Amino acid sequence: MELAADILSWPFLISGVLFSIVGGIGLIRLPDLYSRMHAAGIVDTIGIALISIGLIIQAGASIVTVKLIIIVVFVFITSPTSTHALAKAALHGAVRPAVPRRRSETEQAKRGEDEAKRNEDEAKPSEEKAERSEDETKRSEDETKPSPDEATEAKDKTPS
Amino acid sequence: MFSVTMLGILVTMALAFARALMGPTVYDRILAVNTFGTMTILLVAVFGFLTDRPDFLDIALLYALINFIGTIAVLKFFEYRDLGHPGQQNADEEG
Repeated sequence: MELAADILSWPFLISGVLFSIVGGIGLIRLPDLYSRMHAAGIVDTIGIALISIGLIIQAGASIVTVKLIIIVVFVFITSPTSTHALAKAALHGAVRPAVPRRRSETEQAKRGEDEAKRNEDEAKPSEEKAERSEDETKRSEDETKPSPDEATEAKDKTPS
Repeated sequence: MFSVTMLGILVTMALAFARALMGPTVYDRILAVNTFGTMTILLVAVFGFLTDRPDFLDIALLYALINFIGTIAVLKFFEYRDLGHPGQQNADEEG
């Protein structure tokens, strides 16, 4: 019985410890506060849950099990609460994420919008042109850089 | 078996402590101390099992309570610079 409990609880304890160490390494290695909070979440959820399950298997059915469950439930409620409060306080304290938004992405999105609007205007006279302009919109979204030649081409195609 | 678990928990505590010392902003330190506290709960619980005295779990439970209250109190202090501050909403109503 003792041996069975040991064999059962070993994997839980060891994997819980491994997850905790991974969370600790993340706390050191990740670049900014918000990603570090993500690493701390590993420790607060799966680390404490797995180690407590291992201890519960060791304890058997007794008051100890109840106390362990109370601890786990309490941490599961308070950990997200304090993380949320921390994120809010950090945002109010003007801590910005270290990783900037990718510039090309935002530019592309903006250009795509503009182009779509222009194509819409062009496409009003006939359905045939509407189809073509749809293709153009798709193509322009796929591209990373608009070449000036393309823009003139698009203008040439429009009948005046 | 429990000593291996304790060793791993201590490693995690050391990593969290390093971040608490390095942390560029005060929020990094608060986050690291929060993680350190969570690992302390586990350390106390596992230590109880190691020495065959699971009564230690009461202390672990108490530590969980204090850890949460402490984190929230420190965050409130650094946001409003006053623990007795009524908070954002009331402050707006008062004008």
